[in-house]
Amino acid sequence: MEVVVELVDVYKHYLMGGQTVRALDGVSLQFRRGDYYAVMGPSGSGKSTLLNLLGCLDRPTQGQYLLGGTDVSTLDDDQLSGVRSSRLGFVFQSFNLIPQLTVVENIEIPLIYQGVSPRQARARAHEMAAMVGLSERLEHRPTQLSGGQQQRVAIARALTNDPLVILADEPTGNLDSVTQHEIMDMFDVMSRDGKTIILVTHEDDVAHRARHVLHLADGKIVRIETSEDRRRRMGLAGGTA
Amino acid sequence: MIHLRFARAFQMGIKSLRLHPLRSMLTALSVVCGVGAVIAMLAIGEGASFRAQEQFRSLGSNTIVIESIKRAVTKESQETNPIDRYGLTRLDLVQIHETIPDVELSVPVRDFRKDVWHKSRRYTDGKIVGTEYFFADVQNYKLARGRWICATDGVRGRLNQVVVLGSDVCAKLFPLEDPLGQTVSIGTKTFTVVGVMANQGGVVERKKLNLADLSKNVYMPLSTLSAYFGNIEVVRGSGTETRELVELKQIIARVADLEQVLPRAGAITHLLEKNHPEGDFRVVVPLKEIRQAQESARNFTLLLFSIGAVSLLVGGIGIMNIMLATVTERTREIGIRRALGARKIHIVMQFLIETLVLTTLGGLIGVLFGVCSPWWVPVIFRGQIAIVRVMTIVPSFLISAGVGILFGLYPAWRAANMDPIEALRHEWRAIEPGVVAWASCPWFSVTGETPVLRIGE
Repeated sequence: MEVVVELVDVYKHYLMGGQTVRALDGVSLQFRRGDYYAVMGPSGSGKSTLLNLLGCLDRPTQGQYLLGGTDVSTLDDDQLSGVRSSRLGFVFQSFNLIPQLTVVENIEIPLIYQGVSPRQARARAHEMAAMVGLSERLEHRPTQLSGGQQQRVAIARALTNDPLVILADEPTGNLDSVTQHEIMDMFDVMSRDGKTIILVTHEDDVAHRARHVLHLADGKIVRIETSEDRRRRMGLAGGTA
Repeated sequence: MIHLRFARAFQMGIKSLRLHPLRSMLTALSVVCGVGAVIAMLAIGEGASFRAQEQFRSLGSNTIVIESIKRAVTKESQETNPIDRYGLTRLDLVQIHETIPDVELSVPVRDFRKDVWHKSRRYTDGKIVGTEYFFADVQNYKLARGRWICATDGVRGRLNQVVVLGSDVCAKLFPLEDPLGQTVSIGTKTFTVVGVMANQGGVVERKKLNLADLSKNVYMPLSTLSAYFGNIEVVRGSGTETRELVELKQIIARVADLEQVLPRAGAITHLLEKNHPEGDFRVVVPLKEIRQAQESARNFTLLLFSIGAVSLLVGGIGIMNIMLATVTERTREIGIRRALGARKIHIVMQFLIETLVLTTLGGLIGVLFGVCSPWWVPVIFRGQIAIVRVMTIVPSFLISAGVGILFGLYPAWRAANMDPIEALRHEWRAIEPGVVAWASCPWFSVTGETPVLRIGE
């Protein structure tokens, strides 16, 4: 499978209170199409920084970031916006839907910023809403939806531009366990359909769904284990699907 | 490249504004007041200017009035010369007419005080004015009834004994009966009334310029006046009696080109100074007064406009304040939009359009308010009139839009330049997560084929 995400010796340093914080300290990694990675690590390990970099919300201090073969670490602000709207899908912990917009309007936002005509964007948003089972609630506002429904809207929004990579930041952090499973099932389906998923979490059973778990500590990759390694390590071989 | 279509952005703007109807309304109100004030103030200024011009215009804006004035009489000169001779002459009239370019008409006027009688009624305030046909024309003086003195009235050999009465004279001498065809007596002579003049405005203005009130005059052809009353006027004071010989009391010149009035007045003054080194004349130019009135009206308008502009500025500052608060309040939304691919320009446009919607809506209402000022201004400010010029409406509206852009730009710029990561971290009201029964995950293939909904799989 082709490599869609490649970080080459990436550093991200912040200046905080006169001290340099090494949020990422020489990270190199490759994600291929269809990869499903969970990123774990204690707070301050650089998870969020990594996700922001991968999400083109931030630029590395040093190193290269190749997304779909193009070096995005040198792009300017507008070009990064373009990359975000065309190649990336975001799913956040707190859903991050815009409250004054309806479900369908929230879903079509990335398309609108891509420059898709309003009519096409609307049609695509309708398809997406139908796919996440919310075609009955197109004109509802986020506040009129349950948490699980809101996250489904967010997932539809993340998929509406057919992105290369889906970036999820604790997507189930605000949900109860039943809804959590439903949302994670959706991630499984996305992965099966060939989407590259990078999911930050601190919950073991969420990370457990991913095929690889990437452990970060102090801005460095400590180890990458496959789900088999993990099952073996935790003595759960042959466990849940 | 701005992909976001304007109509759509406009729609979104209205949507966001409707989230806070009261806030939006109050913000728009500041623009309503500002734009309304600008238009109304300009209209009031315009009204004042119009009134001032109208009043002086009745004097005739393209006329120059030259009057004889009495110079100081010394005792010696009075003794050596029993008749005081001064003022304008027919020679002056001819010279003005022949040598000053652009003077299309020049009308001689001679007058003196004498009582006018009709039966037992006496009119003492008036003057007997001898002049020529064009007098009324030049003075922009209208007839109420009958006719004006005509060219043949004054022809030597058939001196028609006719007079035309000023409105005040007519009202005093003929309070009830029809004056036309009736006779009046001046001195020992009897004259037939052939016409009555209309009331002419600008009495106050004439007084300001030290010109006589036309309504108190009795008009007759100049040749008739000279033939019947001679050239010498006897002025009786307390214990004194002077005899004056004034050939012409006034010359009224009309200049064809309005632009040439002031220079020609200068030329006339120059000419007369040569003929009358003793300075027994004065030149009055109503246009000068009109210009002065216009000037002061313009200053007045400018002052009022400044007041309106300040209120518009205050409105603009209010808008900026509100928009800054809105931007802060919607930091999270900005972060989300940026994360989902909005460029800075998209964010700038979004907030700018919101401000524009506010200010243009406010501006429209303000324009309506201002356009109605001719109705409400006289009610609030007694005696003041307002005239709305079409050419003030469009600029005022554009200014309101300009205020929107000017004062919306900074908040929009602030919004666009937020760090998306920081903005995403910004707290907003927590949305309670809920539970929903959900059978299964409906999903689709991402290969670009027709998406298939698979519920209950």
